[in-house]
Amino acid sequence: MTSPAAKTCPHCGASLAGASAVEGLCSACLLSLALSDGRDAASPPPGVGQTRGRAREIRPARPGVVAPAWAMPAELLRQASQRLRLAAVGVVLFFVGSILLNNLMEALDWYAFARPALKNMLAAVMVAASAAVVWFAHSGRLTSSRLLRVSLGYEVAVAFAISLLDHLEPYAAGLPLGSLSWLCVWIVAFPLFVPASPRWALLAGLASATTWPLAYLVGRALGNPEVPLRVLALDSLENYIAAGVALYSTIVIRSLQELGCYRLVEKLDHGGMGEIWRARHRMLARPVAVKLIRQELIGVKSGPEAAELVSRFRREAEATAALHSPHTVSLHDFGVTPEGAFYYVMDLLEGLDLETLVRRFGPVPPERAIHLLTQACDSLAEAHAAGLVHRDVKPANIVACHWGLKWDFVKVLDFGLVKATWSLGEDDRLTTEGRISGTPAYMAPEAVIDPGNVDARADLYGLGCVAYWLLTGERVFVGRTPVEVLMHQIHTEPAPPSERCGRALPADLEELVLQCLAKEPDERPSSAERLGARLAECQVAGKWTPERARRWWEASAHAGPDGQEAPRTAVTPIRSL
Amino acid sequence: MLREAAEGSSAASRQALGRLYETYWPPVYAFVRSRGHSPSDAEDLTQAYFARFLEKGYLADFRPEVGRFRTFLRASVSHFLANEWDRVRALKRGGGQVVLSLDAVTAEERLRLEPVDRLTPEAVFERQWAAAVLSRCLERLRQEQAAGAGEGRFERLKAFLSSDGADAGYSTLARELGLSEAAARVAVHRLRRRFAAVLREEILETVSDPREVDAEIRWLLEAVRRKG
Repeated sequence: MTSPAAKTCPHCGASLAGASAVEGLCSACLLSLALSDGRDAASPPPGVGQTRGRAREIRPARPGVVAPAWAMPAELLRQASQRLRLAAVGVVLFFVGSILLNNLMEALDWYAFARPALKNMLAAVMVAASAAVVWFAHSGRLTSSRLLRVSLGYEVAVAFAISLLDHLEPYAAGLPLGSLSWLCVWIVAFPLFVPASPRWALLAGLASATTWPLAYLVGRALGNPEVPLRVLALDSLENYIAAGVALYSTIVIRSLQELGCYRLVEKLDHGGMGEIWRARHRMLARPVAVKLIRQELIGVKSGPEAAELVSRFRREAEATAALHSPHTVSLHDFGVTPEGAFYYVMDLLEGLDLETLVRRFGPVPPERAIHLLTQACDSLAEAHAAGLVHRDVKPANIVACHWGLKWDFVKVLDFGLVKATWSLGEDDRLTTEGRISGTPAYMAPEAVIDPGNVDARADLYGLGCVAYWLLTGERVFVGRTPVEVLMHQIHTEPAPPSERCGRALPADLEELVLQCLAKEPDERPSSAERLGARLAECQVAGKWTPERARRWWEASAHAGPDGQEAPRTAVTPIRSL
Repeated sequence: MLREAAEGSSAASRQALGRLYETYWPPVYAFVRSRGHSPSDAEDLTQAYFARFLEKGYLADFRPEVGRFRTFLRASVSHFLANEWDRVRALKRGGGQVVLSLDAVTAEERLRLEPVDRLTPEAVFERQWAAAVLSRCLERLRQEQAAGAGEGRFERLKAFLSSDGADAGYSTLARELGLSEAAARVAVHRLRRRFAAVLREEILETVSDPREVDAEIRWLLEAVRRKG
């Protein structure tokens, strides 16, 4: 075995100096592992199924995706062991009861069973197998995901035992679907105890249902009389129906997950770092959006790093929750699940983010742009006063929504959370050590050059870019790559919005937008409050009335120009997944 | 990673750019040092290079169809050193530059173990490049395993990645992990397969055609075996 102190690799004899070793491992042997023809490969240990000679082609997984072994919510996985034990104990009781009852009835001459010895043996085997499952589940020798896999095998095995018990007796066909068999009960009940992912629950249910005709064949081999195929098919039907019911119950159970006071109802979105759910408060029945951020997906390890992360997450969330502007999305709750995932509970918004609004309906009139931007300024002004810099002001983070009786009511999203979400873990270093942070198309030049030293004026630059997008439907700068866009942000003067969109725009508004886009922070409006005031001084300000806003939303309620669905859709309040 | 850095969505691209710096810092530093610069100058130059990489959008100049990223990066650093050294030296140290992650100590330690006097700067770069790619693969694997079986288990299994353990080694491993010896062998085998897949993914990012992956691996093999 290679050790960091070794001078040469015991496997290939190569020197382990410098780059010849990585983390004490021989670089040449590591590289050889990946050769598709296996040449030079450090061959797998004997007896583990690896074909000698030409190795099997290794298909790369999707880059960046850590495939979960079982695709189950963590909470359900955590309970897997306990639930499986419960199910197995139930099976033990069932078979022990069956042995006792059958033998008692035999002893009292109440009933003469066919092949009683075989039945007793089968029941005893199942009792032993179930006891082993209880022990395995209790011992913690298997990970939760493996345990769930084992549990599905166990489900099918018990189903087969039940079917065999049925078919050790001569076949007694009743009315099709006239009475439920124990097999049906088992197929339906098992997922209630040990839920799996829907796909696997269905597969296990179908396999369990199929044990019934298989057991019939075993009974035939043991000398049972033949039964017409149609009778057998009709009697099997109920088991397959039970498999369908099991699938349905699995889906329902997954939808009934709870997180603190919140019941997760529907997954709205998912990304590299977590998931966004539509949820309801258990007592208030208030619809909210819950964002789950899994630590392992943002590269966080355990120990002090994780503790510091939780502490920072808490500070950021508290700072965000302290904001009171009606134009800042409200953070109702936050916390850490027992599995270590962060969650935020926020307003579930009904509306459109400005990215989608313009993409779907085109540039907005100048007066509407002013209406939207003024509200965003209100949100930013309060945050800046509290010492928070958004760092990722962009159209996708600003939502025009229906709020109470108001239309085109702006909510700014991800406040303070940008730093606390995607910047966590390894990306935190990206920020603190001055590397890139933000969205290239909306990044201020100083955020590119000296990211560790940005202030509120970087947000005003972002807001200028948002204004540009609203008025022209185009980004200030475009490039083939993000880096090219960043170069433009640093070096290129923006074209006036009217020039880009080919239509006249109010000169005062255009001048203000270009001022926000100044390369030097000192040349931009001094604060969000000042910018809001100057927007309100523009000639067309105030011409986008609540009535016009209402009419626009009503007129657009059914279809946009591109024929897409109505804009009144739920907006996930944290976008940086 | 390269594709993400150059073309991906904004969040993905900025993460990828960050990873790109982290991964390729050591080979660039080693190359600069091998060209005769002192550790502190090499540190400044490497930092300046990556800052320029960002400012000037060097990545936009990379054409996968023309050559491999490894070759591109080496040529780009070489060009940078030829043209920018005087200018960078004239600047106040670090002044006017983007402050990038400096892992110079690690890079220097690694370089110190190299037989620098017997290798050309290009050879040092290639060797460090291979090491950087392998380090990144191990880190990816570590993160994957930490999410699943746990990091402690990975650290134990990792030692078996590069070579067969003797039977005694597997029995010790099995005892430590609470597995049967057969299960420990299977776990090692699976880890090797996953490592191989990750390595091929990483290398695929730096070549223009999937068919070049094997050739690139062999090239890197020669680089790490080169004795100068």
